[in-house]
Amino acid sequence: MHEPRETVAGDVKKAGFFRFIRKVDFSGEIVSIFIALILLCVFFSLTSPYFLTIKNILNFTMNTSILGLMAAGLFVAMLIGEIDVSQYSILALSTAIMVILIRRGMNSGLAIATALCVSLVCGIINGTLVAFLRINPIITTLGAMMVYRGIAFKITEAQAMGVTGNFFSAVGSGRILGIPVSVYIMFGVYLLVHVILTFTAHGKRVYAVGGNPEASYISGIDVKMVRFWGLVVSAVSAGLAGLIFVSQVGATVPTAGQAGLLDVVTAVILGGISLSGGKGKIVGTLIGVLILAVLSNGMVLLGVQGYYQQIVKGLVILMAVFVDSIRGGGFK
Amino acid sequence: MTKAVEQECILEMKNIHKSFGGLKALDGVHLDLRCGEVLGLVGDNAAGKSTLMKILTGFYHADGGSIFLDGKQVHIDSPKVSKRLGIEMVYQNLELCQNMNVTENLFLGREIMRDPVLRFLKRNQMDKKSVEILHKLKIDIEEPRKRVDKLSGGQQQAVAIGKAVSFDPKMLVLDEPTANLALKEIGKVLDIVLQLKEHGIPAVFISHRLDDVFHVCDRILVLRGGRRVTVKKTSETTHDEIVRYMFLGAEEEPQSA
Amino acid sequence: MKEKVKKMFLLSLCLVFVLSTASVAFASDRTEVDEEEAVYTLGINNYMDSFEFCWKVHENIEEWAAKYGFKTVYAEAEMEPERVKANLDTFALQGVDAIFEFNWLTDVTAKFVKEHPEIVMVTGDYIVDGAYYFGANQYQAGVVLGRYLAEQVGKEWNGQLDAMVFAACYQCGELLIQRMDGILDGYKETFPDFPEDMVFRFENMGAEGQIVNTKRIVTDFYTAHPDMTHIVVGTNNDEGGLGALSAVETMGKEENFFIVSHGGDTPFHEKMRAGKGDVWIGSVAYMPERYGEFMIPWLKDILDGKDVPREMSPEHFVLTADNLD
Repeated sequence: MHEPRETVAGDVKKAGFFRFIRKVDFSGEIVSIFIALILLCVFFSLTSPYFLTIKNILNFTMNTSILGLMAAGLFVAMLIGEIDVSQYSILALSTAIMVILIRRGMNSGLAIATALCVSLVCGIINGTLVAFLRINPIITTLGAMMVYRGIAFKITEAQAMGVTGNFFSAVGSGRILGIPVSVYIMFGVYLLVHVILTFTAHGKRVYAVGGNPEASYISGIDVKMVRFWGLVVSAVSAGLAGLIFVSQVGATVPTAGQAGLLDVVTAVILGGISLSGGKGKIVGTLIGVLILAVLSNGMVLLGVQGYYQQIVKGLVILMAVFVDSIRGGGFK
Repeated sequence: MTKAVEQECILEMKNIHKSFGGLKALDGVHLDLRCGEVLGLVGDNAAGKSTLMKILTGFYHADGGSIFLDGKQVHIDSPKVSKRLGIEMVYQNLELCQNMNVTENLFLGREIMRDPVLRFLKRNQMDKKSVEILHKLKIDIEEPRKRVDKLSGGQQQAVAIGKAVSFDPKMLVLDEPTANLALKEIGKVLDIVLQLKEHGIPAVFISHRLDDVFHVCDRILVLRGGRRVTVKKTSETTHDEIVRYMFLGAEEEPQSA
Repeated sequence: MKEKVKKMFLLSLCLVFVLSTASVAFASDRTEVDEEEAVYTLGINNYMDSFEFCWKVHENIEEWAAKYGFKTVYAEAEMEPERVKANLDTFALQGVDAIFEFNWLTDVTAKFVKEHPEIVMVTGDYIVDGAYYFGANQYQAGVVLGRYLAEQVGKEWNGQLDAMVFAACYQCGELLIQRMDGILDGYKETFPDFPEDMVFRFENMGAEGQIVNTKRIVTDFYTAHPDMTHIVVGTNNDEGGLGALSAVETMGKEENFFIVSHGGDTPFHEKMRAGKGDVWIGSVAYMPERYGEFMIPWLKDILDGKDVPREMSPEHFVLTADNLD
């Protein structure tokens, strides 16, 4: 029988900068898409004089905060092995209710809280159907998407409805140290998700259920509750995105997201998440969101026609996957 | 350990029935496990070995029969309940989360937390404890934050065993722990089982490798077609006799050894 | 070692990126653009070119913008409010003098107009406070169509009409709804007693598209009302008209239906040339292929500071098989 080795968890060689570098995750997927993002930025900064300006960077980061927030919530759901295509419909419904209430005289703060509660209820419905009644999440959220959207159309009579208020002005147009408030909110949410997933038992259980639900069940984890909360998080992130939406756009729009529905899923997949669940980093999703934002912004700056944009988006996604496969040893 | 203690029953499974649709998987099976012993559970494919143990660990629910732990009847509805009762199992497919590291797997569901609400982890403490657990089992895994899918089969098996034994179990079930291992690694796993026995943890050892069974077990219980055939003391039987029981059954009622 | 090299390479890339961003950003907030002969710069925020009407509008605006020495910058938003906002912000960044906004989203456009009073906003086919309007008078177009319909019902069916079925994009907003209301009001100028409960309104926007949805609506409606012999189907565009025609032909009920639509676009022209004018009796023209011709000179006058009306519309008339050419 051989002697066991003395080991200490996380051998720390040097403090400060190098310690940080050792701890930063340079996993394969993240590296690949980060390279893709940098290459895109280099390309657009060479081809458009407007791209690499503070104003433009802040603009596209601010304008992507709606998508970014929803992608953060969807990431959690997909990490557990689920999917939610009803987010934009939840956004439409929760903002519709909020704006109608404000226009009927309700206090803004109460209306905002109501909107978030509406998104929470939508998440509870989705979560119950998927986690407890064991209905397939795609079918569930597809059906839910239509129901929530239909209700939004009904109560708004298919009309966009404008709203103003201090909160919306602050979030939509406000800046702190020159950076839009919505950017802080988006990055704040990403940081929160990262902290929860990395440093708490809640987060570890999300990864566990996504990676091996059976092992999680055997380990005493309430798998159903984890699945339930995954869809709740996804829905609430849509509600939060809705607040940013109304702040930036100045209205609830019942048709919102009908064309951009797949962008949220695209951003999360681009971020390197495993489609079966259990693997992925929230920072990857953030990079995925930024890639889509840079693409959209860059192509507008270059005046690229609409159908070409679809082709370019698809090619970039394929490129990111291709680079990743090379790094993964596909060409050995 | 005194002879009296050795003979004391820690676990009794009485008259266990289980069907899956029209298929009768277990038909009135009895099993008893004594303090400090390793009980071998053998039988051909579909004999009901894993099913019986999954009922014990709450993964399945029995259609009939009862389970007694330390003389008291218990109802095991879920793996969570079985863990609370101190019953731990190492599954044939290990049931590790390949996407997580050694520490995370060892502590899955039983994390060391700073607070019960936000559940922030004491990661360094968990890492240290992981190393201690593995050290006790004489397992050479350098980095507790290494992902489990980067470990060898034997190391993964060791982690699975470590997970089962690290929270003071009352008893252990090992389902084919040597099935997919190389020779060197089999030896290590059997050493671990013997170590556990030395520490007084009784175990049920399921295996189709009779050499391993004879090496570590005190008694051997044979199942065939969902029924108990016999139980023999290892010192009072042979490979051939066990094989005969496995494939041919027994003519008379099984004797308790 | 390999890991370290990889990490250092990535760090260097990040450093290069950050430094280049910082140097450019701090040097100037806006890079100087080449000073061409451009008189003015016009931003065109289109719905999408794959929609024929929008493509024709876009093409004609580009053609006339070039004639008048305008530089153009182009984007599409597919009626997504976030994209509309993002595109408008980008146009502002690029220093446009005017924007032609063609996504029919009032609130997001109004917000931009308030925040950027220095940019002349021209909204296409929808009205926004503070912006100039160029486009169809959609209600009036509907009225013109309704009057023509009444004329045909009187002439061919002796004034008998069992039902008026509207298959339209009701979710597309108020102006689209006005198209359909205009048809009814125009019809009622001749037949004021036409009962409201014989007017049926259906949403035809959805995943399968307006053609398929309209076909389904018309088929299902007739299945539910087999005793009706004189039915009018009105649609908000020619795609809907195509769907309605397909349904009628499939059912073999050409003698029981009249179809009217808005647009007067290529699909309508093709069906007229194929001899379908007895069923699809008319489509009110919006003249997308002349938007630029009317709009650009007017816009130049605005930008030159001349006193011009804040609204401009092309003419509307009903295209039929007889007057197509």
